[in-house]
Amino acid sequence: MAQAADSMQELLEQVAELTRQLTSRDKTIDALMRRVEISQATRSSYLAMEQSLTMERVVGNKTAELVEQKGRLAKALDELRLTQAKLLQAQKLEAIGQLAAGIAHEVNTPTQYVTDNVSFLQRAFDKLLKLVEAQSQLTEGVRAGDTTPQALEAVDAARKLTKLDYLTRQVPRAIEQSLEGLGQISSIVKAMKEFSHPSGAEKQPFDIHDIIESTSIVAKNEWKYVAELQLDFDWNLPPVLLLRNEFSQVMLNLIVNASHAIAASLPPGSAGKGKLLISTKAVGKYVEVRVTDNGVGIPEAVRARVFEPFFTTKEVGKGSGQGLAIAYSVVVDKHGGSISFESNTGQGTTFIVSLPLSE
Amino acid sequence: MRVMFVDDEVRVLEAIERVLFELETDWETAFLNSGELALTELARVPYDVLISDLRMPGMDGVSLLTRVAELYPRIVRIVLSGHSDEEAALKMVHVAHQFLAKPCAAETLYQVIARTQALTQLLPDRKLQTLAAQIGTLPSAARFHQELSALGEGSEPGGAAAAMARLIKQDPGMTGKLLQVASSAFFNSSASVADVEAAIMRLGFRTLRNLTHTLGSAAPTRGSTMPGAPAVEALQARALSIARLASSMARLPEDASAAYIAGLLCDVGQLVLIASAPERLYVAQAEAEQRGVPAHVAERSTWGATHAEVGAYLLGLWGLPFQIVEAVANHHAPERGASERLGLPQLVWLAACIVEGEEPTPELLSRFGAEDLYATHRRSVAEGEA
Repeated sequence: MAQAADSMQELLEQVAELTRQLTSRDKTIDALMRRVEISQATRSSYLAMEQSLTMERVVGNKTAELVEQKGRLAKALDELRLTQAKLLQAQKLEAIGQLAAGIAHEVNTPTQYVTDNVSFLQRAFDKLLKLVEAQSQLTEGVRAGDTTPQALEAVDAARKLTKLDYLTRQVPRAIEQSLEGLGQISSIVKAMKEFSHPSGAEKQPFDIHDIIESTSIVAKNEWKYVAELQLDFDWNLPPVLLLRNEFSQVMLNLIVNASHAIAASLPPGSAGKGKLLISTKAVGKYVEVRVTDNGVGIPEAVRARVFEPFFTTKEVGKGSGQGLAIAYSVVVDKHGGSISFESNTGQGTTFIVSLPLSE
Repeated sequence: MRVMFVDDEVRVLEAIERVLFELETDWETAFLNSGELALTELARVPYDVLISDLRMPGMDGVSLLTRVAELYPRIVRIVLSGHSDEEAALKMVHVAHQFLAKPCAAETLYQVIARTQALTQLLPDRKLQTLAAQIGTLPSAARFHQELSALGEGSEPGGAAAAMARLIKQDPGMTGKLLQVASSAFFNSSASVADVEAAIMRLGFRTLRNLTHTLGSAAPTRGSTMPGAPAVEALQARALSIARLASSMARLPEDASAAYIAGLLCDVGQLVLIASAPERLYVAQAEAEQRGVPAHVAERSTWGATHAEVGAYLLGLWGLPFQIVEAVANHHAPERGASERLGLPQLVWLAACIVEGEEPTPELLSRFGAEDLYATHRRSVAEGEA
């Protein structure tokens, strides 16, 4: 990430330098032309001819230089585009890296109780099997017409050992919770897969709600300790033409930012939680996605800069300042939409993403 | 024994309850859904072991364990967390005795608790249990942390790690702490580590630097102002001699490393007391001098236990390998083990006798067939001194 950012920074500087050089060449040529015009008007024709030949050579050289510089500029711009694409990918990897610990936690917790429950069920089954065996022997005896008190006692003993009441209550719950746990694990793995799978360079129609839901699952560990998530979707929305991968990255950045804003607003150790609301609705020919938090809000002084690349208010190592810059580039440049926000210091922020419904 | 589990995920608690029910333990258990509820319950009834999650809404695990360490220092504090990052592990170093990573097998959880129960039988005195359990970091010699932080500046990581290992291996407190962290399940292993080099390898150099840095800044004000109590430096020098001697007495090369560690750590009980109750050492020492008996004899008659059990209790709480804990516990009572052969506890016992100038009884020497070994090493140490 830092590497991609550095090389991007370098390229930007190169482009600026080349532009500066071009401008100064233009000025030199202008000056030379003016001198030629002046000398032609005032000097003798021989001198004028000689000078104009020199001038032509100079202009010829300068033009060749210009052409070469133009080529270099074009190449630099190409590299810039490539770096931008790499930067997008790098920011995504960075986001996944930051989420990795949280995702591991989201998988480890259900794995813990599924493992314990299955281990419990294994022991419970062994005991039940012994009870069934004792009872089969009793049944066999009855069928053969000789019921011994020992067979009955064996059943009673096995039944006591089994703690049947306890098992009757706990086994169904253990199975139910194991299935819930496995469901949770599969849903996060599926969301992870959807989130990280490359979606190609062409826009395709997607159900925007699927993307929002799976992104919120991937980021669950970021918000679940600080916020209640509410999804308020307009289910009548048609599919939206999207670069899925890029759009899910935008949603991730907005959700993570909102969670951080809420976390910063909660007093340390408080059991309270904030609110994180994601809503969708159609507005004219656009679909509008709103991500609202009741966190600390964006300070007035920095509101103008939030979409600038490398601008961050987070501490070193916590944010690269790319999240919202990339969101802007994805929404505005790649989807022809718009992104804006409303924020009240101390009350919260809403980010509004509008995407065209059809092209 | 009373054991409390705290987790914000109710299903984790219910599943542990089911497993423990099937294992038919005699423990009284409580399952609490938050740090706040845990503190309320602890105020109501005393507990022996607390097993807590880390990330919870409201009061998180670190805050809970910190409060419990202040309010009920005797309670054994264990973390059971799905977070396996280094940052969390290093934060835990001061507030938890052991770290278990989710998913943790039911058997492992059971063994950790059962082991704690066995330790309380080894050291039944609750006051002494408290003194050991409240130790976060053992005192090191004055120059240790300076030398440690001066290491590796500018040199290549491999060389620095080796130099660091050499230095740490001379400091009982840091060695114990390093083995505690490396044995923890946070570092992706269920096996405990009994070797400083292996521990460093498992942690990685960077984590080790962070760990020593954290510990260096939190090291207790070392040494005691109590006249007559032994200085940390003297204890360390003695521990080092015992470690070297014990490892040179080991017959198999693979036993030498464990013998070294057990020897180095055999007197950490005295470090515990230097840090938490130096007056006890002072009283025992005065008694020993007056009666002309070894320190551990005087300790037993004054506190009803010795530094051997106190040290073993702490190392056991820290999850160090059983063989090390056993050797430390029995290094003044080699007859306590079930074995008749010359094992780790007996090696450390012999080494300690030679270094401390205590004559072992002929019965014990012959019981372990250690007459020749003792005589040879005794002679070579005496020659070395002369």
